[in-house]
Amino acid sequence: MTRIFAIAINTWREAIRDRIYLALLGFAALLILASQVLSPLALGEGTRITRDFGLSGLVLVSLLVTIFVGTGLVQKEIERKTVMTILSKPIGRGEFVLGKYLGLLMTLAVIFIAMTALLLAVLALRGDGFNQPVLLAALLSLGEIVIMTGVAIFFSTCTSPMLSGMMTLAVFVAGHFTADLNAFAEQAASPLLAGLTAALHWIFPNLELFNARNAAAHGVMPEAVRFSLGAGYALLYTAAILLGSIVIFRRREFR
Amino acid sequence: MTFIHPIHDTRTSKRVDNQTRVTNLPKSLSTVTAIGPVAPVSVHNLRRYYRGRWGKKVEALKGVSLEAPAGQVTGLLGPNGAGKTTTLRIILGMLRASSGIVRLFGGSVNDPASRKRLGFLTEQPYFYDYLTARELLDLCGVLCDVAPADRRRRSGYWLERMGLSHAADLRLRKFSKGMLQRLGLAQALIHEPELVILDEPMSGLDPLGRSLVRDVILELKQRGATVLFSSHVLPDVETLCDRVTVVAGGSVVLEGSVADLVADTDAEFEIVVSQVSPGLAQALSARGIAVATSGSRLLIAAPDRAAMNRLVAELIRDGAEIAAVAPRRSPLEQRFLAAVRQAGGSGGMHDGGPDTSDARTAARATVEPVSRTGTDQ
Repeated sequence: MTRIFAIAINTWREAIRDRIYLALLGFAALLILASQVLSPLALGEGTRITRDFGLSGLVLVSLLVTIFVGTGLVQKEIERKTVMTILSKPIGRGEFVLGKYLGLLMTLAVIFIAMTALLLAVLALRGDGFNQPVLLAALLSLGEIVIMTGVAIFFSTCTSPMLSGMMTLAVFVAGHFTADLNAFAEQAASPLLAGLTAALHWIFPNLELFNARNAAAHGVMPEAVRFSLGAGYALLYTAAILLGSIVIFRRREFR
Repeated sequence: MTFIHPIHDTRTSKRVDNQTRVTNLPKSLSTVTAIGPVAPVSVHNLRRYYRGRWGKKVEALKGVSLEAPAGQVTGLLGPNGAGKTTTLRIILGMLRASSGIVRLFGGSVNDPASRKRLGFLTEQPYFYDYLTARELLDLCGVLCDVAPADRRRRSGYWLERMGLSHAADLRLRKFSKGMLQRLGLAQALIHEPELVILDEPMSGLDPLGRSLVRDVILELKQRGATVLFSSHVLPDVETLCDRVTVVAGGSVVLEGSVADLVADTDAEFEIVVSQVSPGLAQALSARGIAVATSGSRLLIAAPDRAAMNRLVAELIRDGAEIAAVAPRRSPLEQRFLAAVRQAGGSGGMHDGGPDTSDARTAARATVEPVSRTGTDQ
C-alpha cells in the first residue's frame, strides 16, 4: 500500500508541477461567462443558466483534465523509459497502475472540489443561497469522473496518448447513450445486431446514472437511491476496468 | 528447489511444467545450484525472437547463458546490437524470453522480493524531470521500503558522493546528461542492494564521472555486493571485473575470469622512435614488421612482449632514440576482438567495436614522458 501511495503522490506532484490547476481558471472563466454575460440575456432564468453551465462545466473540465493527463499517464512513462527505473524496484505492475490511477483521481478530486466550491459561491452571490441540489448533483457527477479516470488509464496502458484520448472521449459520449443502445438492441430485427448492441450496452459505462445535472439546475434534488446505486456501479466498473488495465500492463514489454 | 520463472523447453519451444523443468535442467546447472551458493543472476540458454520487417522472425538472443557469481564484478561485453541490453532487460523482467531460464537469487524476476535486493541503472537514464534529485531518491527509497530516517541519511550521502549536493533541490530537467547518469547510480544504490545491474554506466560521463563510477563499483565489490554491468569500455572492464561474458550476434562467444583470459595472451606493443636513421623503416618492413610514420617519428608494432624487448634493444644498439613504448592492445582487447571476429561480428575500432581509446591514452600517459634508454613496461 505504501508503494501504491508513493506512485499516487508522485503522479499528483507531476500534475501540480505541470500547472494542471490552471484548469480551474478555465472553469472560473466559464462561470463568469454564464453568470455575467449569458444570465442577463436569459429573461429571469439567469440563476438556472449559471447552475446548468456550472454543473456541465464541472464535468467538462474534469473530463478534459482526464483526457489530457490520464491518457498519456502510463504511455509517457514507457516512452520516456522512466518505467524501467520504477519497475526495477520491488513494485508490482498492478501496484504501479493502481498508484497512477489514484494519483490522477486525487488530482481530479481536488480540482472537482474547488470547482464545486466556486460554483456554490457564485450561486450564493447571485442570491441562490446554499444550493443543495447543485451540491448533490456535483457529488453524483464525481462517480462519472471516477469511471472515466479508469477508462483513461485503461487506454493509456495499451495505446498512444492521441488514440487513447480519442477513445476515452468516445467512451464518454457512448456512455451517455447506453440507454439508447439498450432500446435499439430490444427493437433490432437482426439477432446479430441486437446481440452486438446489447453487448455494447454492457461494455460502455452507463454514465447517465450519474447525470442529475439538468434536474438540479431546476432545483430538483437527485433521488437518494442514485447515490447508493451509482457508488456501487462506479466501484464495480472501475474495479473491472482497472483489472483489465493491470492484465494488459503485465503483458507489456519495455524495450 | 523451485523454479517459478515461466520457461519453455528450448528444443521443442513448448511450455513445460515446474517438475519437468527441474528434471530437464542441464546436469551442470543443477549441480551448481545444489551444492554451491545460489548465484544472484543465473541465465541459462536464453533465446529471444522478435518480428522484423515483413514479419520475418529475427533471433536476437541465441541461447545466452551467463552467471554473475556472488560478490564478484561481472562484465557483459559486446559490439552494438550484440544482445547485451536485451539480455539485461530480460534479467530485469522488462522483456520476456522466448525460451530459457532466468533466475534472480534463485527465484523469479517477477517476484518483487527478488527485486528488493537489486539495484538497476538503465542505459541513458531519464527520470521524472519535475522532481528534484532529493525527491527522486526519496521516491526510490520509499519503493524499496527504506525507512524515512535512512532515506534522508542515504540521500544526503549519495548526493554528496556523486558530487550532486549543490543540485540536490534542483529540478531534474535542469540536469546535464552526466549529472543524470550519476544520479541514476545513486538511485540504484539508495537501498544498499546486494546485486547491482548497470547498463553502460560510463556512458555520457566525463573522465571525472567515469573515475567516480569506477570507484563506486570497486567499493561495492569491497562491500561484497555483486555487480553485473555492460560496457564498451574495455579498460574499465579489465580494471573492475572478475569475470567477463562477451556476447556477439546474440551468442556468448567468450566467457571466463579476467585473470584466466589475459593470462595466456600477450599484449601488442607500439614502439615510438624519434631519431630515425635512414633506411630503418625499409629494413624493418623487409623483416615483416609493421611500421608507420607519424611526422618525424616512426611507429613500430611488436606483436608481443618478447618481440618488443628484442626490438627495443636492437633499436638502441643501432643508435635510435626510443620516444615511448606503449601497449597497443591489451590482452583482453585482443581476446575480445578475436572472439568477436571469429563469431563474424564487428570488432574493429569503428561503430560496433569496443571503446579502447582510454586504454591507449592511459597507457601512453604512463609511458610518457619520453624514455630514452628502455621501456617502462
